[in-house]
Amino acid sequence: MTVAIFPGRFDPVTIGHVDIARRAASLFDRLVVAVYELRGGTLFSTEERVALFEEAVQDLPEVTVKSFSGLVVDFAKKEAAHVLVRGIRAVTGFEAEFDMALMNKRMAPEIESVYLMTSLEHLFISGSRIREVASLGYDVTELVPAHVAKALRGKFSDG
Amino acid sequence: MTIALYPDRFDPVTTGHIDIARRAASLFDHLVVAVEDVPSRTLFSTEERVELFAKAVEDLDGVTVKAFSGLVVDYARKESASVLVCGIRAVAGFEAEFGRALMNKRMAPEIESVYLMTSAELAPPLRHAGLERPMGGLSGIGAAKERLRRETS
Repeated sequence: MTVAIFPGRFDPVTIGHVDIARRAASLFDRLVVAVYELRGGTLFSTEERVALFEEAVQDLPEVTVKSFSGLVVDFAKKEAAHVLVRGIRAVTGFEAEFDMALMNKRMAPEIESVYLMTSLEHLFISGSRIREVASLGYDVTELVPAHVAKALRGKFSDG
Repeated sequence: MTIALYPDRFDPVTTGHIDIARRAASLFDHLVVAVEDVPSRTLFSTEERVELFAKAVEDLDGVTVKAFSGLVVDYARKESASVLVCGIRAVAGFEAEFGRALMNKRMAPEIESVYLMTSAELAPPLRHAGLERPMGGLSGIGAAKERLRRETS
């Protein structure tokens, strides 16, 4: 029974994240989406970020969404996960990932970091870019799940 | 039953390759190490490269080593593999992998390319480790050939 975790900030979840979650869920028996608890400094609260991702993957029974704090590897151990899944968007993301992977391996050698390549059509979609363009009035409907686009409109609308 | 394919030239297999194979074998039900049978010049013949890798992983359950030619995704389908495993050594290796992954995805969307980071101690370029580090008087390649000759005679 292979349990994998997919950690991230997911502020908010994008169609890129959902795609990675879907693909990871088909590779392993169970997937835990691990939403990093950040107190302040996020657009959506931890609870909101968890709820938004849950709704995005409600059709995937083998996926659960939870929040966590502290070290990713500690949370992985708690969830009896020995795989850590990450999506890689492009070369710019990779150095930090490589660094993180080596540190995680140092802290928990039994946990395997596994990388999935982002689909071509999702390459430019990141949480930070979504937040930025949405805050400036761009309709991100096709870049995030529908309910997330609605939530973003709610955050940035005047009324 | 998830079958993964780990394709490369493996000319010859290095400790980095074995590390990836070991880790991939623990992640998936079965691993096929797919040794590319290429028309261009290799240091070791296809048979030698298969034999060297097979010897290196003989203690591992759930791993087979085979030679193949043609497109990796075609061979993956033939082996009913739904996963392609690749090792990434460092940032420099990544750019080439990225293009390759997208092309494979284009040709075979049902096959997932999965990347494992090489272990830290193996991260410096290892492809020519056998050539650069003498082992007891023989070069690494010489020693590997010698061992192969001894063990298969």
